[in-house]
Amino acid sequence: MTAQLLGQVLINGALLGLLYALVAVGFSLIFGVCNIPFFTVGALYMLGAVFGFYFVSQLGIPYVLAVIIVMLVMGAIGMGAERFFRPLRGQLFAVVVVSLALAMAIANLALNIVGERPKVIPAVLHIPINLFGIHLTVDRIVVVAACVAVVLALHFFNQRTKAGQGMRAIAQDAEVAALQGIDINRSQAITFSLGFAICGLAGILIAPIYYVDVFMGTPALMRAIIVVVLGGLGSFPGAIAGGLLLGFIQSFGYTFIGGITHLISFAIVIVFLIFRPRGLLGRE
Amino acid sequence: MSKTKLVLMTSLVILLVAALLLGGACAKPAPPAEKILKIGMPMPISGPASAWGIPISNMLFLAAERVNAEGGIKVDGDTYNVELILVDTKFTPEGSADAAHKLVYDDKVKFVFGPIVGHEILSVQAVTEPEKVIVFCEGWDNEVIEPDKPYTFRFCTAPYEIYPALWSWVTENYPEVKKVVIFNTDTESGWACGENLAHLLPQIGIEALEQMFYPYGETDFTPHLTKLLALNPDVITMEGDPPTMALFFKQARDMGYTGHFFQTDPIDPPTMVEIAGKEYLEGLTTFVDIASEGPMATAAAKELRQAYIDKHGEWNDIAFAGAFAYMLPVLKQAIEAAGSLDAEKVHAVLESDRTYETWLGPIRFGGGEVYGQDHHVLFGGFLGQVQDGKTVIVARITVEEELENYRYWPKYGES
Repeated sequence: MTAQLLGQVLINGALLGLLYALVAVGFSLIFGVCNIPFFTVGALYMLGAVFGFYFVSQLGIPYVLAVIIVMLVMGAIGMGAERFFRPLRGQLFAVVVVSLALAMAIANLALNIVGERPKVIPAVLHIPINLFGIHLTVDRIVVVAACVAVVLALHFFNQRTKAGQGMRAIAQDAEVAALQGIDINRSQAITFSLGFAICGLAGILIAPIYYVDVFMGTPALMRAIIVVVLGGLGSFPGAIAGGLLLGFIQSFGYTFIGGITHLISFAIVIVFLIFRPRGLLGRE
Repeated sequence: MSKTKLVLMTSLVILLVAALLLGGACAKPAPPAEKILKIGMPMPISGPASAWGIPISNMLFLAAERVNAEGGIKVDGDTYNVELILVDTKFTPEGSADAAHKLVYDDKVKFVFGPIVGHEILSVQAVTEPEKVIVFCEGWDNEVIEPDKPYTFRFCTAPYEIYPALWSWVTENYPEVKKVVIFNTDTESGWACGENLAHLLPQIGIEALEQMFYPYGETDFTPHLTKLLALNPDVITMEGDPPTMALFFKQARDMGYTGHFFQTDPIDPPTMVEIAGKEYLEGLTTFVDIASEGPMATAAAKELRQAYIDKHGEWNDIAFAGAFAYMLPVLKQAIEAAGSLDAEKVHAVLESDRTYETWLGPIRFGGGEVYGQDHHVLFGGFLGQVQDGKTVIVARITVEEELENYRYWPKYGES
């Protein structure tokens, strides 16, 4: 194995992993604070891409402005969704069923509005570069940078702001937090809003690299679940670590093993669930 | 009787007589109740294979309009108009099975056009074969027309016909090509196509370096490409749906691949150009079922293409993929020859050795020596190359060449 090949495999793994991590961060955020396995995140990722398609390709809004609009729109939808889920608080089974049903409803609605044919958001900064024989494109680097920036911003928000501290308190014990005067409804609404905005951001950032398809949510959800199981439920750094682990598994696997790599990802998830259910960086 | 009453009575009598006379003159025999022949159409109209399913469905609807406009299907003095019932297979085995259940048990169809790909077809056949429903499908997996599927007929040019034609053309036109990597979906079709190609290539002096497989729905091929490009192939040949192929070609070029792409799945240049851009598809060589423009296109094919454009605004090469445009004329002639809509009687006609006249030329069924029964439609085909975002025909393959190409494959029943 040459250094060049190893370098390419490592770069592929890192880029892929960080792309996967972005949706997982949204999943992890909502789970961490609201204790809800919110299976709608894949559909939200798709929705972000679909909004991006309409804003950029149909309305001609500049891409960067469209990214901001998508985050705001998705954040507002998240705020509304929290009200919808509020009566189900504490009913785990009901929340799982409703979040799955919501995902299906969004996918079918998008299918009827957008149509079944793939759509395209024009590639931004799609510039292939060759670094000492290692190939990559600028748009992927930008998305990865955005992912890291989102995680750092969330970490800062969590640690340094009052709203973030409130969310952390609720994550640890909602009842005690409420006794301390923390408004649970408000904190969970902020959490939903942020989670939706991050999933939408993932959609509009990643779609130009591939394409927009109303069915793109399901594989994204599957990967997000794998990532958070590997990295640790509710942990933002864990989402990054899990994403990187999955990215490296796929990169090394497809390069050196072959087609059974996707099975290996699931096998490793099972191993984690049995021997280290809190994942790499999750809390006990 | 007063004069007024006399005028009134006379007027009434005249009106009555006139009404009777005119009524009699206008009376026509009651028009026969419009008879409808329902044909099921399970197609992938959502998901990545919708790039195939939608234009093919459009072409079938166009064919139905044309058959109806030409007088429908005549059976025993009755005329039947064709009604196509489109059901989405979602490109999944479960979706395909659901579609077949709906068509066969709810809509009571006896004839089915579609679906397109092996895993869909096998799911549909689990319903249609026991119910003796006649299926005209595509599908590259030979299993779909093996003798245990007596009611299924395949309307496409498949690997046994295409591969020798394409790769012989490659050896003539690109003599530098010696090493190939086969990159297919991790599906029954993908494995079957890979095995077929690995069987053929050594016979024409080309080395198959590796068969690689990717899970359906994959969008990022950088890990696969790292391995693939390290093998340094002259050619990558790929099986997949148009959007996926477009992404793969784009990512391969971005990673520095400069060799050829020869592939044999139907392509959809408009969708692929939109996803990847023209420059990434330049030179892609592929199989084309029916030439619709250029010097090799027939007048009928051009006319059908124009009718499609008139109805749908733009042409899509996939509309002529497989031989779906042939299906209705063949079924019409088989039903009329049988003189019945009874599937068993129509099946008996389809089993007989006959040639069908279609809008696009005569066709017949064959392939028994390699497939086990003559349920594969023979109509030749073309090789096309993408130039400036459009498919340009570069070679023609005749039915005789297709039959000759069977020499590369084991006879049915031989290992």
